[in-house]
Amino acid sequence: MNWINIILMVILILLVGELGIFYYFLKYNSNFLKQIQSIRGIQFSTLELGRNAPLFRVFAENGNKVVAKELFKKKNTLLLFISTNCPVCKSFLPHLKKITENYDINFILINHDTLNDDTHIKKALNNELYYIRSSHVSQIYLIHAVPHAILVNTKGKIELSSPLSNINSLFNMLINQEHLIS
Amino acid sequence: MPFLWNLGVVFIGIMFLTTSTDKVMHWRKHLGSMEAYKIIKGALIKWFLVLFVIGELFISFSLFLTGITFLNFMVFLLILFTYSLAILINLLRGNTNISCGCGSVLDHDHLSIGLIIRNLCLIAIYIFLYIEKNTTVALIQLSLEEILSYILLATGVLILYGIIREIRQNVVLTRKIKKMLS
Repeated sequence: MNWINIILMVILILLVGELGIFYYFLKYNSNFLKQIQSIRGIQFSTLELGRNAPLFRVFAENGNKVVAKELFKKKNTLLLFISTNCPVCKSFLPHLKKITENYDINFILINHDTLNDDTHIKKALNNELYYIRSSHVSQIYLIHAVPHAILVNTKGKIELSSPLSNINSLFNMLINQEHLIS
Repeated sequence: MPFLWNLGVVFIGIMFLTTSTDKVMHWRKHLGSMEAYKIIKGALIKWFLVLFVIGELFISFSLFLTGITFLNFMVFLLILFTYSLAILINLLRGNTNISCGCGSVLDHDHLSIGLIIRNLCLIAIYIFLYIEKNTTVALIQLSLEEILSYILLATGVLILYGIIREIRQNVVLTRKIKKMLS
């Protein structure tokens, strides 16, 4: 090995070392940003608007397969996350049929509770509505509190996402949706 | 050109060496990542992780000692297709908010189609190197000076990939936090 080669090798070692330090610094910085992201209060409790809605394939309670990708393509889709025994969710039940009757949207009702008796929910449903019992779908949509509604547009992007306090807040979300002509 | 092909061989060797050592060093984290994929369950997870680590180490050392052979080509294809299939299954399920468990600079916080494309690119590179295997030599057959140069250059390229990925991640995270705080 002559001197020039040795010098070149040393330069190469220094360069790789420098790249390594830079990489370590960036990694440290992104870990710091992730910690900021998870500070209570500014944690991203739900998916951000404009991002792609997570896809899922599950069986509805009536046995039909619900393929999110196909549904999202056809028309705007409302995902309403509820729980069997949540009092506010129960107050929504008498109004669910109105949504499928009045708006030209896919309506998916997602109950994250898979154990308790849900007869009262099933009584409030009609054939136009997809009813799913799955904690998995709530998990992938980062739903921490119910009721929560998410509106997905035909491009599969999240257009609106909001926790709901009463049925009016749900109808407010649908204010720009196309009505069905009866 | 043989210089570039040799660099490709060393790059893949070092890449697998770093990912496998990362898996061994952060064993519990990678067990958790494999569990989050929800494809295999229970004690099987541990054994599959052992298999993957052995497979990756085998590819790495066999590339350094013998160069590209039919056996390490087959192991490489098997491992990469298994990883890609596992990612694809979880993408279809919508279970994307999990670490890919790739290890070292290849690690990602969430699953995306980009990971499958990256794996397919690696497969394409390996297939090309396999076709050109007569122009490549095993690292051990080279002089010390050449070995050092190849290792340093391949490490540099690998770290550079990591730097570009981290910069992108930092920009996205900063934008998200700024959006949430504004």
